[in-house]
Amino acid sequence: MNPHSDLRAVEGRLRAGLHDPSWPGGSSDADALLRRVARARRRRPALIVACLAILAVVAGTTYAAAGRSLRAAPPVSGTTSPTAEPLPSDLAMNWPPQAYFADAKHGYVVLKSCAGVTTPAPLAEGRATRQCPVYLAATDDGGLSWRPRAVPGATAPDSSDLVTNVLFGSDADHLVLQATTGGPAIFSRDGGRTWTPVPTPTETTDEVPQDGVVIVLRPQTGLGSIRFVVIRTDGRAAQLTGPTILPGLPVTIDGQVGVSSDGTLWIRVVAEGLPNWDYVSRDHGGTWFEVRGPAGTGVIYRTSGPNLYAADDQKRTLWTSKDGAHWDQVAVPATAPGTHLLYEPQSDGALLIGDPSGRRAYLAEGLRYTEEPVDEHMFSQHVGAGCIKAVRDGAPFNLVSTRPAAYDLAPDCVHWGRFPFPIA
Amino acid sequence: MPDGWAFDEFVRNSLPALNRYAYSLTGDRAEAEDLLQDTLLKVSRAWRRIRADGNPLAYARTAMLRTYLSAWRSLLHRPRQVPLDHDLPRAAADPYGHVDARDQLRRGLAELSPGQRAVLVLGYLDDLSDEEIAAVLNRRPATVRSLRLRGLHALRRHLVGPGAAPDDTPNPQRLQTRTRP
Repeated sequence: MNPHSDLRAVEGRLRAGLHDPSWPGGSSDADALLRRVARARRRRPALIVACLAILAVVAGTTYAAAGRSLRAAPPVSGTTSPTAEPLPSDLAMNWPPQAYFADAKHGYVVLKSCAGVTTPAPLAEGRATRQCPVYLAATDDGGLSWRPRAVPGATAPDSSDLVTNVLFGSDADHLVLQATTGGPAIFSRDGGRTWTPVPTPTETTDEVPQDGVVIVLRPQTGLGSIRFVVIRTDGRAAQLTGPTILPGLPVTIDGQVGVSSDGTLWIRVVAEGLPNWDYVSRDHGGTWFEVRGPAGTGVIYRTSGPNLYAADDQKRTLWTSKDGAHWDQVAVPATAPGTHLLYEPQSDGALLIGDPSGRRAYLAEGLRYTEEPVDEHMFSQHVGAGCIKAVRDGAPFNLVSTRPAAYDLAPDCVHWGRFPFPIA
Repeated sequence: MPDGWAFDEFVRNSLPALNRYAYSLTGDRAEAEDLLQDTLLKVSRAWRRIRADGNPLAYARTAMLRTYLSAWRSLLHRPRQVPLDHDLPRAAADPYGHVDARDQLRRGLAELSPGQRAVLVLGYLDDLSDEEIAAVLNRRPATVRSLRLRGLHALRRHLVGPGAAPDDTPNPQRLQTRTRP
């Protein structure tokens, strides 16, 4: 059956149904409706007075309770509550936040608490970093409420360049947590209530199955290869056969294995003194090809669809390619001197271009681009099905160069609210 | 009541259109009535300005759409309501098949996300183009195309059945842009 003709039939049926004279409506009694509207208008002042009165009572009660609580607090710190697993009061998100929404309701964010954690003596490299206990907060109502839980045994460095990753299987209950990229990983089948270590893979696989997630494992000692391990929802682990990063090369993997909305897999290799390059697979890991930016030091964007995009270090010049080998320059719009353009891959394979100095936005598809109306939520960060963005009042496109005070969250990338946790 | 008879007259004249719009968005008579009442309350408060602008129906439709979209978060807290028999269209003269088809469409629409539903209602009831819908929803046309395609795919699965849906992975690139004819 042809899905396109199916869709046309659905469109026809939808249009006919919505215009059908017998398509029902709500009340048809205009007089009754007008009376209800009039009553609601009269109720409003009384409602405001009532709300103010309730707020005053609640505020007074809370203030009194807080005062009692403060007065009753023990003078010595470190006293534990008799209730099980008391949560620390300094729970905070990493910067940038490590969050993920499996769908518009179910999401997670990594938290840590560094209160009382002492800083170790500086190591030889001068990179002593204290390790803070990790917590995982979960929501099942689109971020309206969160339940933080400790992750036993997991710690994360108190540093913004070493982050904790949470990755998902095929649904919201199966997740993998890796305290640092390349380090040991733990696995949960019940939304983070219980955890087991990811087993050492004893078999190999040619591709990433639908229910699998890929993590990067770095050799703990010596010059072993960087490995890519697939974890399935039943807890089995297998080593992905490609791509091969030769042992001994002074390279690291930037972040985790990226997955575009069309299933394309991206692995970014960072080599000291060399331009970064990407390994890309469009067939779930079966075959990989190398993508190197045309400008040598180019930044490659993890797009869906047939078009690849790369920009130079200064993000002023844009190229596009189909195969990662031959690049054509996109005639990006003229901008003020010194402007660094912003780029954001879209789920439909296009690339959104932002000109922060001119406050304009464009959508590139291949070599062509069209101007787009500017939206305050443009260039937010996608976290699975959801989006997050730094709270940065007044800055165009929410540009962030310093640690923001808070983050906003849209579990469906449409309706925005505030994350209830501060930034560590 | 603001401007007395003028507002009343507007409500009486536009009630059928607003009713249809509210029911298409909510798929439920009671919720449609609530949405209609909330919308008219907003319209009544801004009636002097709206009347001066000269297009109260367009204002009411936009207000209804935004009320509907902003209410969905709070609706998550409510238990999901199952439509009762008396909520079915009252159309005794129609053949049963016609009633069944309408009810199937209504139930199919109820399965969609508020964003998908809003895009489909604006596109197929109001016949707005993707660009016009994007302007109303304050979203990008590409997002509107994506929402429309996913909504149509979901609706197809409901109307035609899972066996007739070999292509379950919507690709917005395949969807042609809807423009004004």
